[in-house]
Amino acid sequence: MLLAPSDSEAEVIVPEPSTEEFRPKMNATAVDVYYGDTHAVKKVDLPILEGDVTALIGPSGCGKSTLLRCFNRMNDAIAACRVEGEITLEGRSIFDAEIDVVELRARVGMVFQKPNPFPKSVYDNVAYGPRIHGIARKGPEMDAIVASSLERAGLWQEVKDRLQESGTALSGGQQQRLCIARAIAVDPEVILMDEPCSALDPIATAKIEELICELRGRFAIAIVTHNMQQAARVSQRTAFFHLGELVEYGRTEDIFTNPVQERTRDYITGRYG
Amino acid sequence: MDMVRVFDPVLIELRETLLRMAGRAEAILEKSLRSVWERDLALAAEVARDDLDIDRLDVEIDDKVLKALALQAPVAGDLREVVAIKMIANDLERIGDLARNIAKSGAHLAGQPMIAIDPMLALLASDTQQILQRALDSFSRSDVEAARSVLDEDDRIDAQEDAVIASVLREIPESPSTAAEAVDVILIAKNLERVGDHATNIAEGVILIFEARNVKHASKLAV
Repeated sequence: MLLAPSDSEAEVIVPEPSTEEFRPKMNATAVDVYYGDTHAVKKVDLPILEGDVTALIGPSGCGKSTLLRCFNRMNDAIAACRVEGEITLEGRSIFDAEIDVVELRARVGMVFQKPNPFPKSVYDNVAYGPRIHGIARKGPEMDAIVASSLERAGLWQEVKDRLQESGTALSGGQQQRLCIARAIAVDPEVILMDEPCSALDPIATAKIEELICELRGRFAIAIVTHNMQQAARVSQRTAFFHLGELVEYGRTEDIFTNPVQERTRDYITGRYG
Repeated sequence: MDMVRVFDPVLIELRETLLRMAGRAEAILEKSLRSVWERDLALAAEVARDDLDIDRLDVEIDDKVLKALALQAPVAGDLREVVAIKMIANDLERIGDLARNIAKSGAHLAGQPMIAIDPMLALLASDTQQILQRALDSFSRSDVEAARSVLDEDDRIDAQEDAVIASVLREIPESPSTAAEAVDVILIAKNLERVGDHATNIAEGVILIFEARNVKHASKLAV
């Protein structure tokens, strides 16, 4: 357990000792995010662990999606948004002047709430990233990347005969898996998912959850979800946010069986939120 | 749809842990009874140690069930199975304790090797072992019919226990010097009857899983 056992104003996060299972791929330290005068994320420390799924939960407006978008500098595009503090990938600051943001976003991929395939063929949706990053241009090498990405995203069997059809012609759940295939085609180290199932029906949701569990181990995954049962099912670590603060972070089974903080307890048992 | 659900490996692991516990419960009952028939003090001592293994598995199942309920929120048949596994684990844990009681009586009797043990006790013991085995098989083979047949046997076990006690009580006035040993035989019979009750509970758990019916205390509550 990473938090001091009290729900006091000054909640101290005690660093977990370095163990075999605790390997931060990314690390946020004292991160603040402001939208104009609004202080959306307040002094947050959060590791994204290698090979694990980290769930970010909390009521709407708690800062979880804003924080998630910091990990691949998606907030750079928002003029009024200011990010302070430090975020590292493999120990190196992602704000370093030498970091190429396009390359960062290849290493730290993102899947959004609404599936957003390009208005291109299924094949080109997946081939797009490897092409612009110069991983492969065309031919058998690209075919292999497209096939293996679709395979890993659990979509290959359903689309192998429809590779030239438009990505937007697929069902919602298939489109979301296409977006996951697109994200993993450039061989990222981290995948960020912002409510990836909220626009999907229960069957498509179950498939995405199953996929997340399968991808775990190969990537560090961070997922923002409103669905607490989803966080419980797919993640190994859970971070609970409230009013921009990280209230509690720990092993998912601890958070869901015996949370330390009163605010976490109230939220996950449905007493507020 | 050939989907592997996130919950499947959780359920499989729970089942396997319960089956491991079931195997230990059958074995400990067998060993406790052998300590009685063979008047073997060493075997009786082993039973106490074996019971600790069962207790450990009981704690393991508690943890796994709590985790499964908290993280997976199972519903329908999945939910019934998780709850029934917890109930069956309680029964197996109690069977371990009862076997330890039997072995304790076995240790007393080992000090009196010349005193004959009522043959009706052996019949009660083998019938009890059989219905426990049938109850556990009904879980591992998902066999509701077998589970139902266990429920029918409970009265017979009770009657056998009564017969052992009556027989032993008849013997006491004839040889008052062996009254202490007679009490141990009565205690063993009592413990076996309790094992039979737990076998019944296990069978009721299996019916809950597969038929979604709670048949506990059915005959009493129907009145």
